[in-house]
Amino acid sequence: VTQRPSQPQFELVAAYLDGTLDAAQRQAFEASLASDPALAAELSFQRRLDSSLTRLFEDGPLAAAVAAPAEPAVAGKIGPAPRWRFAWVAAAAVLLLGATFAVFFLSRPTDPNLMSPEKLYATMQVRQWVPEWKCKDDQEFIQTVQNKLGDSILVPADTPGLEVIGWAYGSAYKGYPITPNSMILITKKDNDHILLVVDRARDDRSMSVSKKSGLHLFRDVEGDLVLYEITPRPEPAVLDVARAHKPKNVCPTNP
Amino acid sequence: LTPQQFAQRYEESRRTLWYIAAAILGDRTLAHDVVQEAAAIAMTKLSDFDSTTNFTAWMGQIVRFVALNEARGRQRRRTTLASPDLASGVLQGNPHPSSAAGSVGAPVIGDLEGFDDYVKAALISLDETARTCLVLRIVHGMAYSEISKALSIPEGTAMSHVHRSRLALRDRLSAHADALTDSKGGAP
Repeated sequence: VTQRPSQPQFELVAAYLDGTLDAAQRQAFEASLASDPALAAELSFQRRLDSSLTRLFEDGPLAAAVAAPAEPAVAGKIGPAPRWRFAWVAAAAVLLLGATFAVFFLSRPTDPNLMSPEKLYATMQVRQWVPEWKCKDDQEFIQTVQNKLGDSILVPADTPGLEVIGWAYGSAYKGYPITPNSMILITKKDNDHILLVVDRARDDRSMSVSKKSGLHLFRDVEGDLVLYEITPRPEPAVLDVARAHKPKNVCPTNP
Repeated sequence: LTPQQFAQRYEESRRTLWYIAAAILGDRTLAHDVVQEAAAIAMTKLSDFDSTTNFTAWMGQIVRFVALNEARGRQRRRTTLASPDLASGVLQGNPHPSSAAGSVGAPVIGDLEGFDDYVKAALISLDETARTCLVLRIVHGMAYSEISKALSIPEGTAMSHVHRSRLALRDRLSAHADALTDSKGGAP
């Protein structure tokens, strides 16, 4: 293996592994492996390379060990010379100050973590609509919302034609639709997935969806809560249910 | 394209899109985020999709765009191994290759050692399209005709990328054959 293989040897092995040899060529190649150790070694090497690539890129459950990017071990050896470093820092500081003033005076500050309804819908879709929490019954549903937002709603689990899949929490993703407290109810009607975003009405913000997305956005306020339905359907399906089942006499967890 | 149709087609091409992102970034965790970001962008442009064209190719373009942006962003954010001499020094076997793998902003796949580390380091030298073709062919097992559609390149170009990438990796790795033979992975 220490010697680079001849070009024909490499071509032959590559074609063999790539499946581009015909049956006769394949048979001849396999027969020659026994009498040609160099060819056999080359095949072994390239197979090992393929296995390594597979290990490196296999799409399995993400282990904690692979989640964090490694920091460069030689960072201290490189970079600009010290006299330039000061100039860079100074320039960066000036730019930063300028940007701060521009943001302060020229625009309203916006939360960079805010997520558009389209992005939220796409995020849930990518996550295959898997909830983080599913209430065991309607009472737990009511209490869960009450505990988190101080008021409650109910979308009964046995609503005809509507599957209540479970809750996702805005804070669990790289962003949130209204605030980090936003709760997202994942439901399904026919083949359409519908999201209901629930948050405190006092934290409400203006939201809209682009026509190009094919999604629709419906809004309602129930007590102290604001509700947004994000749906591919032209009519709201979940808001009406929530409106019809507004729970009464909910005991706050922290009176 | 309706959101329902998008959802269905997206599911069909999800793995391919993930491999495209992973090949460009060399990072499994980031690949998931990039595909998700690309899906969000695509959701706002559904009416731009021409249903007579290939969905994976359309989404693949968005994924590549987002992945390349992310890769550039990461390189800007992090101190990189800027000197080619240092980089080639790593590949010549002086420092441990895992140092190089992390520092050039591409593969950061955990604690794999030995042979895999050398492969990671060698992969960095490949052009991103070549790397994507290689991963789609060898790891994902896609036919060249499918790679051609997914990346919007001619089939012959995809074949050529895979072949040249394999040769380039072989050349780089053969210099370390002795170390590789002695490494923890052992010969297959």
